[in-house]
Amino acid sequence: MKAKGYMGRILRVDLSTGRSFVEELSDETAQAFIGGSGLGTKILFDETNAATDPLGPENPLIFATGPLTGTMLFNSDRFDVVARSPLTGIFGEASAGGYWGGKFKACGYDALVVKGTAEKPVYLYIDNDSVEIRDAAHLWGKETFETIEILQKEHGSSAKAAIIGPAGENLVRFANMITDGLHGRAVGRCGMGAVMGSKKLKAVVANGSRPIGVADPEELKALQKRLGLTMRENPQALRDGGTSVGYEFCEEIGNVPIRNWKQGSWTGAGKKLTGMTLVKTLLTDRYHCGKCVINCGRVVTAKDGPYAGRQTAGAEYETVGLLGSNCMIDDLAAVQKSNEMCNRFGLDTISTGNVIGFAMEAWERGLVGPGDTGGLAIEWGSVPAVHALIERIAHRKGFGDLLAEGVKRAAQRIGGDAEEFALEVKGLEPPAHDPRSKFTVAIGFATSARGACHLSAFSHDFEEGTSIEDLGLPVLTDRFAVAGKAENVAVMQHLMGMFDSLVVCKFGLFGGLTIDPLVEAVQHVTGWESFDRKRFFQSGERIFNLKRLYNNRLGITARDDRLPRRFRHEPKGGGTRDHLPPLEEMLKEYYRLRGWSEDGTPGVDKLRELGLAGYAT
Amino acid sequence: MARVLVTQPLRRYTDNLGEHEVEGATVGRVMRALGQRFPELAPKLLREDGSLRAHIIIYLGDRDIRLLDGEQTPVEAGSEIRLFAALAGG
Repeated sequence: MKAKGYMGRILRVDLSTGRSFVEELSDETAQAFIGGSGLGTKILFDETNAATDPLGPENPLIFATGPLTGTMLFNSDRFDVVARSPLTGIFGEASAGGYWGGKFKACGYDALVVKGTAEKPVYLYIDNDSVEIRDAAHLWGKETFETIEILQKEHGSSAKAAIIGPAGENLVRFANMITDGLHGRAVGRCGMGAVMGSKKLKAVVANGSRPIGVADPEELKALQKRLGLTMRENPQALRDGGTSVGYEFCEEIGNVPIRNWKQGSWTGAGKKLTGMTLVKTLLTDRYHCGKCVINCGRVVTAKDGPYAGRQTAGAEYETVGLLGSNCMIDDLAAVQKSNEMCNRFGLDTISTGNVIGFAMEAWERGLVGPGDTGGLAIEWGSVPAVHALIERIAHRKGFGDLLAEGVKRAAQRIGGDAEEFALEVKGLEPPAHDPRSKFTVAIGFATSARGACHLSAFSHDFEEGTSIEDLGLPVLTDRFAVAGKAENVAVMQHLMGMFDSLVVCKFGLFGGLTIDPLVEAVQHVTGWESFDRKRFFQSGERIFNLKRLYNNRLGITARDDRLPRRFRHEPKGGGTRDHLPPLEEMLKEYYRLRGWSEDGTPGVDKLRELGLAGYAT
Repeated sequence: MARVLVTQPLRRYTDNLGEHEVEGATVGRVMRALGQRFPELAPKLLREDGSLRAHIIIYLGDRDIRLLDGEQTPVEAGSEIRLFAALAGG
């Protein structure tokens, strides 16, 4: 590997055989697919097919860093995890911040690919010199917080662990991985924790200290210095108020989910659930991921339960939306408790909040009753019901076993008209951004490779007059307009693909870490002098299209690029002003711009242009 | 006279200028004066009744006004008020 920034090595571990080996990461692959999400996608594409069972030994669980991971650049300690999703059956990925990414890369590897299934629970320990598969009998069954404390006692606090909780062990389809222990950075979506649990892999502990080479450290330092002021000053509201700092605004514009996405507004709830309320009533400190000066992380002191008096992660915007207003709960302390439980058990809060909101509506409609729920009354606004369900989902107990399958499968099993209010796209439940409030979100949800995802386009903060300075597109000013939305989403998807492949936190955008500085960072780190804006966006487009090809191979077509019924046909008033996104019209333009067929398949010319002709199905 | 600093994402509404001197005894009054000066900014800042919307996060010095007295927060001469576009989480 000639390029700097990379370690040039991929670590492969087979838990069935107990064998591990190292393979080279070539310059060619790095240049084409960058790292992180791109590299993970290529490995998944090459090594799986339609027969690969997401919970079977052949499904690779890929932890991938990028060339910027672990360098001095702001926001760069992230990593991406890719596998076939047990929740959706298609492309799955999730990324996390914290410190694990940089620590793993400093062991000397760009990626870890885990296959096979161990005979009994194990964990991986990786440092500069060793790769060990260790017995995890003393960890299995334990919650994430307890697990991290045991591992830190065994390996020291410098070791960082990506771990699963009981939800992952029980193969809950939306189980997550938690890194950074009580600070709860999560590899949240798509059930990556269940893939890990299916391999009987409890944790991956990384304890590396090798230096990461940089082609031109002085120029990188200079770039860092130029960004320093804006990175510190511009995101101050995010630093002070956290990711839910704009919750009140989001309620006003109809962005937040209320009552299983049915209700358009909830007077007073925005103020009760907003980030500033968390600051006033619960916050005891702030947390930042590696190399980050934004400090958006919340730290609260748990009031009761097994971690009473201890500092734990505060609820983020998504959690406040899905486990708060979506379930008709406006008690922030109760939502915080839900957050803590999900983190301890290892559950994605987005899917969990959606599935509980769905269950509440099923209860209201009489589709489920006390006989199904073991006597638990799943009523709107019931905090005891939410907390009981979180526990039962994580442990697959009673009605929780059904909900642990995700909203799509649960609705299919409940029957009646349940599927009409089971909100998902391609099987993935939606995050707390309503496509009826912002039309770019409609396109993004429908076309994201992993299903309903706001991060693959990240357009939701740039649709009403605010913009990324150097994006090179007209500024969007009307969230209900159609013009320009398709192009905007496509370009943002390429940009976000690069963030996920380099791997850098997207919040850096708010501090000036935009396209031109990122291009410069890649040049200075890798030494790729010819890397420019064109190559930047082309790489992002290549990665996006490869994900699409992967899904096409699994049978995904334009008919799957759709929104759930509630988003298409049910106006909800409030800040959406009864708008419904004209998805078909926007998708037609989107496919045309992308060079895709009407059936949602990348065309031959586009694949040739991107160097993906050999991947065509 | 307060010094109102507008962060980059909002400058398209304030003639692309980031700094403005605006009169007002309270944050609310300063914002209404700013909205009158820049009519494109007004609908983001203010409701029809003139009260502050949540679309823009307002700081007096280094404090979010929601931690102070909201739009009634008094403004002294030379105070620094900063405007941030509200974010929708992640």
